[in-house]
Amino acid sequence: MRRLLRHTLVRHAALCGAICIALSGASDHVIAQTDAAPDLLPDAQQTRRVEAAVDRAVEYLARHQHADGSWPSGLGKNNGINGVCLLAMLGRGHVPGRGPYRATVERAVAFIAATQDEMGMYRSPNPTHGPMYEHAYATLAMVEAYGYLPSLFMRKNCQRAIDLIVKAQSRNGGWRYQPYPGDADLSVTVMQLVALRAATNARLTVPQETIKRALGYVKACIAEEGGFAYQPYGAAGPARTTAGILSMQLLGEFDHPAVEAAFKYLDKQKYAPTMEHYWYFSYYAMQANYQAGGDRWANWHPKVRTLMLGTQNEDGSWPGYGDAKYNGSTNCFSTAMGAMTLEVYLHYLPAYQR
Amino acid sequence: MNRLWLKLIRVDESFAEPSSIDWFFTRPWVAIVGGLLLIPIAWWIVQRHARALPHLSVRSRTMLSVCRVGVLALLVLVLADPHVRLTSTVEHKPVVALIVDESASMKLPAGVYDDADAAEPLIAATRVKSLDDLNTRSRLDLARAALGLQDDLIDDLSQRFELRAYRLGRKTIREVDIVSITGDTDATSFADDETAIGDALRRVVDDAAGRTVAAVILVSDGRSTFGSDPRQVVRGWAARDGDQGRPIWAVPVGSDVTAPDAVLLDVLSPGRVTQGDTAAVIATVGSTGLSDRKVQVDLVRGDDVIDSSSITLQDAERRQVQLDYRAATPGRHALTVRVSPQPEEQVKQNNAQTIEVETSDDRFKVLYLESVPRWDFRFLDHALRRDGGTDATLVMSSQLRAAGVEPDDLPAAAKLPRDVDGWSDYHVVILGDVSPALLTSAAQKSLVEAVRRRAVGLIVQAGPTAMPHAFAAGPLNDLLPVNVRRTSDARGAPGGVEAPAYAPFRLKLSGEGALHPAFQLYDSGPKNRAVWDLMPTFFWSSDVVEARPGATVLARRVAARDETPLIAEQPAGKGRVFYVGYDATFRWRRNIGEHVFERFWGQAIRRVARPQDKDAKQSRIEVTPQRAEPGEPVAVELYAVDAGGEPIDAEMVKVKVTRDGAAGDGESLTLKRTGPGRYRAVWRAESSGRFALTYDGVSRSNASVRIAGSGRELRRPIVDRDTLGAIGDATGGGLIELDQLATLADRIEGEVTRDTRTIERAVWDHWLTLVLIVGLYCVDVGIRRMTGSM
Repeated sequence: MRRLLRHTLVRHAALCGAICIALSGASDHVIAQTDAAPDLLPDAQQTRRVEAAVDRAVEYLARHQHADGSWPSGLGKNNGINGVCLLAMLGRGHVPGRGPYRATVERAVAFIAATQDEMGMYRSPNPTHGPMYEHAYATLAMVEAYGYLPSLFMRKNCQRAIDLIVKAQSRNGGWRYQPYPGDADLSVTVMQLVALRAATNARLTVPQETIKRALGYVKACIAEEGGFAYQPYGAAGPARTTAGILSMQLLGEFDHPAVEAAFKYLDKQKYAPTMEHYWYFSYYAMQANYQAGGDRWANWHPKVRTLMLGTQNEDGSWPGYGDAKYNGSTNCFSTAMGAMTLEVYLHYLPAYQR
Repeated sequence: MNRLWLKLIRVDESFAEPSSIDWFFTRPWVAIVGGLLLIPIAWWIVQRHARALPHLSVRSRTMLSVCRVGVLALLVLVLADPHVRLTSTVEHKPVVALIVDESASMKLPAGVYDDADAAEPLIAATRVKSLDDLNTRSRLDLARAALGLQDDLIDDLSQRFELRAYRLGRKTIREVDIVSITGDTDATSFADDETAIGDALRRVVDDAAGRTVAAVILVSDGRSTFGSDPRQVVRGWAARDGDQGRPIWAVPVGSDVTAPDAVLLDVLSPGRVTQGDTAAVIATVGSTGLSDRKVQVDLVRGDDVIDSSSITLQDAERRQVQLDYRAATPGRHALTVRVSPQPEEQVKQNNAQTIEVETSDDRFKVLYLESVPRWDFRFLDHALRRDGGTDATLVMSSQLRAAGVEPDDLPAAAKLPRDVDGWSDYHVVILGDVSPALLTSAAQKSLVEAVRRRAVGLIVQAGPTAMPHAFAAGPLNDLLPVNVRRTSDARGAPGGVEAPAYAPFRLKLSGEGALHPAFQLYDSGPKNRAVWDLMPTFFWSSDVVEARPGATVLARRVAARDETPLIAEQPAGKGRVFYVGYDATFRWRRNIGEHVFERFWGQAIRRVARPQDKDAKQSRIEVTPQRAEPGEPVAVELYAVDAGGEPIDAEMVKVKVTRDGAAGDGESLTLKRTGPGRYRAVWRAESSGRFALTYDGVSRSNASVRIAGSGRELRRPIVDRDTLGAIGDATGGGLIELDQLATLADRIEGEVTRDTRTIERAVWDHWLTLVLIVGLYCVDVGIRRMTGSM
């Protein structure tokens, strides 16, 4: 009996051992790879670093959001800042209704929605002299968020904001600071264009004529020496040039000679935090180079990535540099812009799809 | 005599030459007492016979006495229980395995040796003529040259151990004659093969069958490109066997200095393109030692360069370049992507890859219904507009509602099809998160009929508002390949399930999904899965309970505690239904942009689409992927119809598989029924070539698949000393240079083990004993009868 028992035990132990060996063999049987990711995907280590930096930035923004959904800034409660911060959340894929930052995003949306006046403008409690800037950022953020807040109210809210933009277009096709037709400059125009493009994607009503005339204005700002000027016949500047390139690209004018000339103008600029409008430039340049692809993108994004990863603070924020006035006591604006710059790698925001 | 007895009692053949044979009684006292008693008893028997049988002759009386005493003696013997003990001792020498890598990478030049002094020991160890000769010899040549000069080592190891020789490629072959791997020969079986170091290590242990492996000598460049990861294999050894080491002495072959190299790492292209469309072919290029070099990347068909792009290489970053292929002519076209070779490159085979693209003139009418512009919609909307093979009609109910349309008027305002014919005008219907207000019960019924009877394809993408939980009680529910948990709340309650913030869901492709056309990025199932399993996490999905019978689960949602179907497909009558259980496929754009997202949706649409009118009454055979590596699975699917165009109902059908250029009838592949007219099987080819698969039913249908190596072996032709060193260190071995092979004699230790087996057998329990007893008794009775004494 003892011998029988011993024999049975030994046999079962051998069977278990064989099963273990078989299973471990099955799990080991993968194609050996010396890289962490398949060749199609970018370097896994770099990807992780970028995403970790963005996640720290997003966490910073979530921590500093006010209870009412707005963000602190050097301008007070400003929808331009709120829009940028909300875009930074959305750009990481944190959409309303789900995920670890749903409350942050939903509060922000609710705040901005509540600031809409009878004209449709997202009027900041603390506006600057250029409310259309702020309105454009806020509109873009709201239109992007709309896809996950499927209510009639949200649609109407966004549509009214778009309608205001359409109404405020000047005769020459551009926009400027105030919500009515008048003067225009490239910087404000670009922001409206991006918002309108997002609205088109979202099946909101956007007259094609508006887009066509806006493109005409952007082209009018092409500078003779290459690049784009603030206003027609003006001199080119780096930040406005990136905005001009992106506008042309988003409207399908990839092969326009002015785009290549503008890139050549940018090639001569030194990319550094000491640049004027550094964050604005960083973000639009990243988008523009991505849209261009090829050598342009390949040469551009590593240096931006290196700089951004090397200058992020421990708390996840980025310093304001020359735009510190928008930050105030916190770094929300610059952090949001930094996050959005790196989020170009993720390609999540529909407004910027090719 | 012993051997005769052993033969009679049928002892195990393994004891044919026992080292000792011992006979004994288990009850010796019985033998002694019985034997002693037998003497007086025998005397008494003799005396009794003499008195009782005086009329018998002395001879007869003696015979009778012998019989009686004989029986008693046998009884004593049996009661004493005689046994025989056999002892066999076998000596086992420990095993030493010598594995020589003969894969394709070993045919490459040994590398860059530019310091004559440093290379001197290697030159001496291989007896090459000079430094230049060293640089031009292949890695395998050097390995063989070095081994061929190690007669003393081989002799020493052969005496002390059981030396086994293996040749390593994609498979591991054991050679009887060690000279075949150490000798000077050009022939190899693995000229184009990959390297499976992990599998070779497993093979050595399997062959040893429990015996001690004193060492594994692995002569290789270290690049394991197939099969098990060698590091995981040795980790498994340590986990299973504790300290029982199998030291691996790894001998790296080739220079550590990597020659400058530009390599085409990856080519992503659509498998099918619509005529007139322009397809993006994405080439990923890497380089070593060629930073800032401008190179040309060409897309070539035949001798024509159809697109070209110039890029500047950066060693630290992979470069991706898009080349455009304008699909002008229907049919299958082979395209080659090539990176212009640079003069200093030693390996130029990795500068090019060939892909196949099928151009079709099929166009698909798509009806896409959505409620609100979710992000997936916004990207898919663009994709459909860019796709020259689709003609999409988009309906968004929120747009209509914003225009003042009341819910009850939505179907009319949306101009949805009213009947089966209307739905059948489309090849595919895509349902987003629409509500029953738009897709009424009547509309659902006619849509279901259109799918079942007219083969209209249906794609359903879940959403929190209504799809599919708000349709649980409607006709549409019958088409879905999954059962979704019903919400018991009032109408309008959100459905689906959210992941906790700290544990998002993950997508995991099933084995079926890895071969499914919708998920096909590459021609290799494992490679597909490697990419798809890296897709980002997500936080919401529909609340699927289970897949329905007959459905194929293509991907699962992996949560903290369970896995549930996420993406599934099933046939529905003549049509197909494809279910996507979440609405964040936009996340597949992470780091790669539109390529994966658009490939998936474009392929899914084509997969489920109603056949083109010209094909409606024809059988169709499809293989996925259309190019695979040897040994990899290929899914073969057939839709078989009869003369009337109706699906056949056989349980199984056969498809003939023939290889181009091969003699004979090929092989027959059996496909099993998966639905009305639908049949499926998984096929594998072990050799390379182009294979044709033919169904000879009422209507003939054929497809082809190309089996070819992956090119992985030459993609990064470095000498991987890290892997070799790691597996050496992990097992108590290490790295040994080619010029230090002789030191292995001192490093490898092992003791002969002796395996002693003992068996015992009972001797009496044998037919011979029975024969003797019966025989003696018969003789006794016989004599008595014959003499009239009974």
